[in-house]
Formats: sequence, structure tokens, C-alpha cells
Amino acid sequence: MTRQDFWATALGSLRCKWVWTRPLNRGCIEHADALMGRPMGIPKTGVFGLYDMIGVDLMSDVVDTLGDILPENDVFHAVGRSNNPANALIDRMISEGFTGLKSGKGGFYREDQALDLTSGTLRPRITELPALAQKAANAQQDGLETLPMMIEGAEPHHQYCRNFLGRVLAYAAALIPMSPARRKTLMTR
Amino acid sequence: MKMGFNWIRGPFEMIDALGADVVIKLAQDAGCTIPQALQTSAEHGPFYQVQEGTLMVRNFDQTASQLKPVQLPDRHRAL
Repeated sequence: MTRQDFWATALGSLRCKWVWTRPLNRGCIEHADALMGRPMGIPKTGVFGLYDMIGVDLMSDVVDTLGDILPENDVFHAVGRSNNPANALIDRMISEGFTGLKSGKGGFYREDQALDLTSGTLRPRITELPALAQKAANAQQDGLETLPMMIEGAEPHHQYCRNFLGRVLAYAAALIPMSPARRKTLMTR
Repeated sequence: MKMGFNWIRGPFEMIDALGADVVIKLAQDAGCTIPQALQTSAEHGPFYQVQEGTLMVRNFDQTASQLKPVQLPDRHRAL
């Protein structure tokens, strides 16, 4: 794994774990994916769709590996630690075989149902985009910048996007400059 | 992030789009420690700049205010 691969994996995993540990709107994964996807310039799978695509079990292994490799003071541990209460649901999904698309049974998304993160139970899928995601989709069709509109407002979805961008972008910036000594330590483990 | 995770923009392009000062405020509100690279960008300008038709990127190997032409790893250049 190159340095660039390592950084990308750490950042991508932090993004996923942050969203996962902060359920939006009573655990509505469809709305979280709609906001964290295209409006942010990120594939429309968002986070939970990406979990299902990569594999819930594989993502869990990646997070555990990063937890072993990253220095103790890395902020990744705040969301990636193995004793995170949010991990109980993931552990249950893996043990029951709901590891994503490859399982044929689904993961967070299961045909016309989706997992409610708060209760851990299935409910009908929500197909309607949240207003903010729809507004961003319209702006993108017109070739307009969407990032500012995601954070400028007083709605809970704006607050969610502010928090997401603040944490993920600050983490990206914190990855540089890594000292040569720290970089060497990470890449030789 | 663009090559590996299929993001349309990388995180530093996103920071430039919002402005480092705005991202600092978001990070502060989220309870994050502000990384030096963000502070540097707020003080010296965006991570990416076009100078005389060449895309330059802020370089942290020597002085934080130094810009160098963007150079992608070979395997990315071929994509």
C-alpha cells in the first residue's frame, strides 16, 4: 500500500465511520446517503450504499486494521474504535450474513427495505430525496457549486453537513504534513 | 480520493471551494483541533492555484507558502 493509498483509506474510512456513528434524522440512511453523496461530489452510493458495495465485513476489517496501525492520538479512534456502541449492529449484521450486495441478502439496504439505525429494525425504503439534496441536484444540473448551499442554513440537514465537512476535511488536512518518522512507522507495520 | 474512491473533487479541492477560513469554522464548531495545513491555507491562499497556465499545489516539504507544479504518481497519470 502506498502512502497515497493509506491516506485515502484512512480518510474514506473515517468518513464512513463518522456518518455511521451519527445517525441522521432518526437513523434515516437514505437521507444520509442522499446528502453525503452527489451534493458533496461523492458517488451516489453515499456511505451506507458504499458499505453494502464493499462489504460490511470487509469494511469492519479495514477499520480494525486502521485502528491497529494509526497512532494512539489519531482522531480516527474516536469513531473507529472496536468498542464503539454503534458496532453492535454491524457485528450482528455480519453474524447473520447481511454483509452487503455480495451476500445476496443485502446489508443496510435489502430490496425494498432499509435498516433503521436507531432501532436496528427494517422498515420500508424511503425513496424521496430530502429537500436539501433535491436543491443541490437541481443546482448541479445548472452547473452551479453546491458545497456552500449544503452548509448555509439552519435546518438539521445543514448542521449535519457542516459537522460532516468540518470533521472530514479537517482530518484530511491533519494527514499533512506527516513527519517522515511517523510516515515510516505507518508504512512498515 | 478521486482515483480510489471516485470522488469528483479531492478533499483539498473541496477546502478551496469552501475557503479554508470557512472550513476552520466548521472544524471548530465540530470540536476538531485545527491542523496546521488548514491554518496555512487560510493565511497564504488555496491549496491549488493556477499560475501562468500551470496548476500549482501548496507544498509542505519545505516552506508552507511554497507552491509547486502538480505531479501525479505515474500510475495515476496513466489513468
